[in-house]
Amino acid sequence: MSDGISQAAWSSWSFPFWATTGLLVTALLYLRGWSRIRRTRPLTFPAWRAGCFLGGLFALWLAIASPLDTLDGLLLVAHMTQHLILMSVVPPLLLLGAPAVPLLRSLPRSVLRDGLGPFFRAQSLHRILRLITHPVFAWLAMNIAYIGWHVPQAYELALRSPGWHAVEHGCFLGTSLLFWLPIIQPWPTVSRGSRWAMLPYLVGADLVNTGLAAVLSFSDRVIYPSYAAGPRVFGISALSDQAAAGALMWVVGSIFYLVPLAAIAIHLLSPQSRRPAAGTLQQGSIAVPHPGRRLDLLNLPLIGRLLRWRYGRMALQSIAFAAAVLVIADGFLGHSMGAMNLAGVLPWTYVRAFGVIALLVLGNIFCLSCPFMLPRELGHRLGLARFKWPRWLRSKWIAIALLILFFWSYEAFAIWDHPQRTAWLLIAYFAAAFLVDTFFRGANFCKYICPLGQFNFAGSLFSPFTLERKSHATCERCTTHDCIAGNAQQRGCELQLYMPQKVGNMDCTLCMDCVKACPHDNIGLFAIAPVHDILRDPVRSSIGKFSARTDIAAVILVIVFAAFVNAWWMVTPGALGNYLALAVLLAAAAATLSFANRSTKKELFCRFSQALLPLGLAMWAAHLLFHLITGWATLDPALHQAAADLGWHLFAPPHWVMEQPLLTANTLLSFQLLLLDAGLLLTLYLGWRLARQWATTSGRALLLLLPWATMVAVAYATGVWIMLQPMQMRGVMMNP
Amino acid sequence: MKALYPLAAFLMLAMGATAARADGGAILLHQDAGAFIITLFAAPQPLRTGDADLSVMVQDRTSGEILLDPIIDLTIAPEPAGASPQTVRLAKGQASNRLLQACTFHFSTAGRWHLALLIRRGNEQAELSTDCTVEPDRSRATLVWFYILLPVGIILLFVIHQVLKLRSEGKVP
Repeated sequence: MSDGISQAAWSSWSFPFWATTGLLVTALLYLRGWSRIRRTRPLTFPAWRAGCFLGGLFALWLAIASPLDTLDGLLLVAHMTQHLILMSVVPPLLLLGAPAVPLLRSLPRSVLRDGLGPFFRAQSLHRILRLITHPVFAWLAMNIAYIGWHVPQAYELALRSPGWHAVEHGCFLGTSLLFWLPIIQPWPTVSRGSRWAMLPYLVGADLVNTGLAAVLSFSDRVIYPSYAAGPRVFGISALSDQAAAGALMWVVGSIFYLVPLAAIAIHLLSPQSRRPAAGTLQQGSIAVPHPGRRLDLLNLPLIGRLLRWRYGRMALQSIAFAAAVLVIADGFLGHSMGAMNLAGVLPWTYVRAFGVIALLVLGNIFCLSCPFMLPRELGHRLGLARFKWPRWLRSKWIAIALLILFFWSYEAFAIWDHPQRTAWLLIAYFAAAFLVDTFFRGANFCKYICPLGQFNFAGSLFSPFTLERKSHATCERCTTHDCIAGNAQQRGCELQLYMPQKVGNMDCTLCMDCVKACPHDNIGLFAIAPVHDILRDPVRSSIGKFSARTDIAAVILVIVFAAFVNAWWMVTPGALGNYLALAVLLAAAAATLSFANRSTKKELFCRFSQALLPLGLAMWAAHLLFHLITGWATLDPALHQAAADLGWHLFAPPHWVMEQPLLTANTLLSFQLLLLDAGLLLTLYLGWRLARQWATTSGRALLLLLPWATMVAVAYATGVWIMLQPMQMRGVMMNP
Repeated sequence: MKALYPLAAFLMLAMGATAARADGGAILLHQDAGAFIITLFAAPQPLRTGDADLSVMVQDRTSGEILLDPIIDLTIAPEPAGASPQTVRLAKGQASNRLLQACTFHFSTAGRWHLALLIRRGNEQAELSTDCTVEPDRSRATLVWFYILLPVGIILLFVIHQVLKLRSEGKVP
């Protein structure tokens, strides 16, 4: 074999994305749980256990991503090596890591208790598990899978179909994990019968392996037709390849059975053969558990430093401001076609999509870096802010009207396709922010007027991070309340969110003023469970109770409803179906409210409206992701075009043809449908939890939920239908 | 409760394991031509409308050694001839198996298609062809049904969860 060929063979790696991600996530979860449990059981979980588990994951990755995988269709010996790793290397290594408890300890306590708890307590599942982990069942399962998949018809099916090949690998790994379980007995599993039984258990498996290996080794014909029909590589004939595969199974496969067999036999025959009980291992080693630490983004090296930095927000705003100025300039002076102008591309393809993604994975990043607030700072410095915002305007109703106006005008005037209109919109935004906050004290524009802000506030109810105090006692002792009152160096929260009473993300712009003002460094940006905020209804600083805020409920309904209307308009502009959807929404609301008495109607309406938010956000994300993915390469030519239009001849002429899409149509559709599925499930879950808060019995809770669930199902079906329609694509053309 | 730990761990590990897959694909053509032995692989199998991976292995006819440097052009046209044929040049980087040269081709319609290979290496040249059947694509419908049924399955699991919870609390007989 020449150097070039061996180099080509050795460089034949594939990187299966989902498998690699799954293995990485599993490794991280294990390490998290292992480090937690090690504090209380250091002797049960020494470092070698983590090493074994990670080694097992790595071996699994090698089996599916290395040249073994890419060559297995050409060489039976490569395929058998892959199977050997999956059946005899990966399972014992994983089980030596005693993964069950570390993996479970890595999960949040509430998921364990409320989510998995009922299943753990179910007797029927216990019975199933007792059956499948019984050594007889495990032995049979592994050997039947082993022999079954080596029957030529089954083997050929796996070679032909990637799907069946995955099933084959899953069978091998799954049954082998069961097979190795009684041999390794990872903590905390208990022995099922005598340890002596493991000797015939292993000998029996080795006999089966030997029998199959002998068939392959001594057969005078090629058993698997694909290898006979295919090209022969590396100068090995199909029969020699088959014999080599058989020899490998025989020799190496047997070693994997005989080594543990010898180890168990020696152990049983040795004088100190009694295994110490798990409890005795820990005597004198139980350490005091550390209190659980929450992830605080402000403690992270780079991002934390940027957010805490005095000029951190201003730096982000300046970048956004420069981009906004460029968009306005190009909007007025650049190309008249939206898809070829920064004003058509940057805000509507990129900023919206990244804004929604940021809300779902991080928080209200748009408001943090909002460019409209930069001129407002200038207005503040003029010293004209002498007025208080009128009390009767302290609600979201103006913002709701503006939000509806924005969504309507966006479609009616096709703002996304008219750069000049986008430029005017931005100018109007800058002017409104400047005027309101120059003459009125505080951040009234953000809190009561800005439609974008309301979208972000509502969306951030599902963000996984929130600003919270670190210590209750520190706030109790604080007399200055700088977080809201400010001090000589730093102003406090202009949205009047008093940190000791602040709950969740509503009205929080993540401006970090409170963090910088707090003299005790008692505020962190902590990870939270995204749905947690909706399920409780405490009195919130400067907001009150959600159940009493019909304006906030209305903001959410507008956002949810607009998600479907906006996307629907992209497939069938001006369709009357939107109004039908509204009718369904109103009917559902009316039906649910009919269950309530007069005093709880408002409460019910406000809380249930919030439960719709996940589906609305999912629809927004699915829709905006479509524009981002299909137009992902638009920014570069749009920048080139803008530079040329503005008279800066810095770049080459724009190249408007995209060579290949970022994702195939089916992959993109999968992402979109997955988002809608997640939104639907989360909405139904929230609805159910809220219904249970009102209803005394499960039956009544179901009745209460039914109209909303029907409406949600209709909305979900509408969303799926919209995703299946050809939507207007913005941006560059595809290379045919 | 402890007895169920392995099940939970197994489910988490299955996330990685079930994604284990191989290249798949089937041999569409394996033939000697000129100085070469040529094998044409196609995936998915059976071929369906939409994107397909077509890859070629070229070997020296006398020694059987794999040749990594031939220039391979693949011309594809629907049958009966109507649309103009498309020619694509195969590239090594397209296949994860570096012993092959490959391309992605979009089969626009179902039916019979004609594939012609032209292989050149130095002064040697070989031409050969084959036909294949492309079936209508059902992957989109399958995908949509999968994602519609996914929440139904999860809702059923949740219902079981709630029943078990209520039963353990003694609220359901």
